[in-house]
Amino acid sequence: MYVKSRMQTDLVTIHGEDNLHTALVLMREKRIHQLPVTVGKKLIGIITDRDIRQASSPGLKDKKLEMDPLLSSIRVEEIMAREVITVSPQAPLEDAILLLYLNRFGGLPVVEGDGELVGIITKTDILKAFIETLGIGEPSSRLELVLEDSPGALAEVVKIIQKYNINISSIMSAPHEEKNKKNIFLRLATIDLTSVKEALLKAGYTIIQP
Amino acid sequence: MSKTGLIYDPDYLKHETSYGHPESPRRLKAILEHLEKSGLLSKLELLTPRKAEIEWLETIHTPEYVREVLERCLKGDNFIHTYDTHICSASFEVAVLAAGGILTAIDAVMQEKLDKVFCAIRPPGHHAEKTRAMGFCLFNNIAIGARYVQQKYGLERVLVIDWDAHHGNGTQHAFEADPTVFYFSIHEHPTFLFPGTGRSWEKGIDKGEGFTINFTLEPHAGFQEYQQAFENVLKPAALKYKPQFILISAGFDGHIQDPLTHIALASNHYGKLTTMVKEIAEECCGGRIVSALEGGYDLTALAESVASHLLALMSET
Repeated sequence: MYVKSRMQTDLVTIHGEDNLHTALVLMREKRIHQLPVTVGKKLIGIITDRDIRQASSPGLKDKKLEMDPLLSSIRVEEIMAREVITVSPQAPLEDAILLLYLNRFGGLPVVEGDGELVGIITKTDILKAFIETLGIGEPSSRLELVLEDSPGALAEVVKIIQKYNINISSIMSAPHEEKNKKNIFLRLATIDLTSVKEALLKAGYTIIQP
Repeated sequence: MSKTGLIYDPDYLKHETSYGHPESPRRLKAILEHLEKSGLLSKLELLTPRKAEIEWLETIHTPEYVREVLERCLKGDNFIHTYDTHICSASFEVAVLAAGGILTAIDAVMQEKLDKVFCAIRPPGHHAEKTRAMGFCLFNNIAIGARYVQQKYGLERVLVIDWDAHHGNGTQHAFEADPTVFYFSIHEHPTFLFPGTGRSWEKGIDKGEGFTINFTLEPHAGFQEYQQAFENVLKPAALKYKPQFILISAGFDGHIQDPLTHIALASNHYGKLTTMVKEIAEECCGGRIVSALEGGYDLTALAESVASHLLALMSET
């Protein structure tokens, strides 16, 4: 999975010479928390609602911020961040996930070549990818197993599932409290897990029952 | 005793699934045998189902899907859309007779020949979507019944109560944008049980917003949780809605013995749930109830639970 297939391309941007009031109104209208600042298609900075809050008159309530005359007198380029952390559309989605997580960002501009802004990827886009990867909402039943963390352990399980002619909708592994083991979460495209569960138990696997 | 009917036809046994499949003809055999042995059968008015006319199937399913089911059965396929949903050459005809069972039942109640009818039918229906078979279901019997009672008898408000342990995704999707059918489903939480939909915040869309209720249960929930949901959630919503007819998607797979789910009801609890639904029906719609079999895969538990359901339907109080 690459950033390109998950990013949003319907972009809301602002210019450096626009004022903070304009930026704030735009963010509120579009329900977003940051705006890439561009010259033509080139990304030159980023401004967040927090930056605007910090530049506003002290003591104002959030709701009244739009009435702050100070904001109309400050240009975006005066307070925007010019060193922007970006990600390439060709980057694997993992890069975007790590950058969002490590920097505690809500979103990352996606930039190509000579700084051309081509998209934005947000935490919501990552969650959507995660929902689809987990198979949430796909007609399926969940099976949770504890496996030895060793080569081929999962393959054996998959072979058993295959015998029952059941499609795997999603598969995920997570650390187990014991280091040499893994938690495996499967979503199987069937209403009836009874036979496959029986076979797994018979083969000595540990099934975590709900 | 109020006049209670039973829809059944030996042809329902002709929908054959492969060996070991939980949704087998043995389910209906177990129910009928138990009703006979316990003496209940002789107190019921036996009704012979008709075949549902294709036009009624098409109130819920697309003509293309209906044709697909027919063609795949005739072709000799042994499953449709997912591997767990088995078919045989007779399945289309049996599925049409299952949907038709509900139509016959509705006629009997609307024409005041009977007060209440339970339909011992298969294949079940509540997972069947507009264009997709799944979860052992081919045509959405209960949804077709809801459209039938509305269109043939001019009713404006129908309540569907789905107490199968699985979420009735097909029924919800059929009516989620439609305020004229209220859908209440109580089921094991979608993270732990097929099909993975029916979360509590799914409450209907557009004009249908507020006319769908999904009540989710933690694994191992028992009668107390059901009772509270029926008393505190279903009943007030139903009394406010004032349905003119009540349909029950009666799955009995919330039984503690059931191999497919993790819910812990006993057989007699289904009678208690039935009594609570009857109270709503008496208050709102002259007691009119048609219920139809959905799931329930432990044969003994299924037969006992159905008997408990029927006893409560027949009882005067």
